[in-house]
Amino acid sequence: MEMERNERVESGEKLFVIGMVVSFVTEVAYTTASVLEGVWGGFFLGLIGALIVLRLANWLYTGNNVALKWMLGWTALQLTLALAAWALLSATSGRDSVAHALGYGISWVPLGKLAAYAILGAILMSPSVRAFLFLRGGGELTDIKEKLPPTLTGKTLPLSPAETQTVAGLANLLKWASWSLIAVGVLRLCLGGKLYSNEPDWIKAAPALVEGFVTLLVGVLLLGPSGAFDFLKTKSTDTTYLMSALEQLGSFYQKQGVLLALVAMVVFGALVIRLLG
Amino acid sequence: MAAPTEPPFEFTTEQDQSLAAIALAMKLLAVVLLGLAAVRIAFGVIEIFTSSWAGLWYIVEGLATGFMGLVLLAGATDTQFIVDTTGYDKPHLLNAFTSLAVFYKVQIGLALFIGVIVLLRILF
Repeated sequence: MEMERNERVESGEKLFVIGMVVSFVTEVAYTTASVLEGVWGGFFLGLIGALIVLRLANWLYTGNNVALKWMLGWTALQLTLALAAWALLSATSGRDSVAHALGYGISWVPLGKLAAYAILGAILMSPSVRAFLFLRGGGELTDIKEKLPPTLTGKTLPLSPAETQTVAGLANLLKWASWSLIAVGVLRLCLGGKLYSNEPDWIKAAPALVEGFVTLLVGVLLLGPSGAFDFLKTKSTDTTYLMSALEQLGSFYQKQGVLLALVAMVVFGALVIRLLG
Repeated sequence: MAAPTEPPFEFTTEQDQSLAAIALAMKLLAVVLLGLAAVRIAFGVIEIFTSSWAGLWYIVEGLATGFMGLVLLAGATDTQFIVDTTGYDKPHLLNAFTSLAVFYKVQIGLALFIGVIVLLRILF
């Protein structure tokens, strides 16, 4: 058990370092590209960004909880900036937009920053990184809770053969829905890439790219509840398994709601731009 | 003498609280799906009038999304009934499962439809 905990903390440290390196290198690359393009706004923003990442990384390495909140806030700010710049660049084609002045007009910058900070956000939320930071903050290794197998209540949902079939059918549908969403997400991303390479116009490519990314993510997230419903099909309908499956589905619906609201905003934005254009 | 009847399956109060939260999440997602459906249909109509018949794809997608929203709303209502009623937890749960099965059948069908359309657009 202790060896497992050590491995988890070690992988947390590796992930932490990867996250910091990815965000720092992205800021340095953004600064350099801005200098090469002569965009001084981008140069200053990138330089300040690189210094902030360095400072926060050093502070966070002590396991400070406040530093973690600052780093999460910084990540959210960068994601918002990249999305806003992307939307602004889609709406204005000239070189006079604020996004251009801040260096976001450089081809890879909006997507590069989005990808880098999405990776950093995911890493900061990861349980192994949290365990590593907890340890650095003076926590004891034994305090890190391991996932224990669920305790069964012994109270099962009694099902007739036809009702068992309904539950098994739903478990299968969840699995198929998950894989079909993953496949369609990949295809939509390919379509977005093709549209952009044919005609570098974000207004035309953005809906396909965003819908592709969200569809892919929803498909991957659905694998969790799908596995939990598979337990009901293959193991038992004990209320522990039943509630776990339902709670996972509920949590998945919350995430899906946020992601689809994002898609609705992008499609609505594209609609407004088309009407105004 | 008649055999004693088994008490109906009933969730505990704690489980009912979780089920109420799940019903709320389902309702919120249903509202988002209905909103997305409206935006997709509007986008499709504008696309047809300003550009090409490719907008028809968005209209079909929007209609299917709206239908999924309505089905999920029915599932959310059944889940909420589990919390609000006593003695009928199992039938309401199975009704919610049936609504979810319809929801995912439509989702798979829609995914296949979009998959074929997107594949054709990539290839040609």
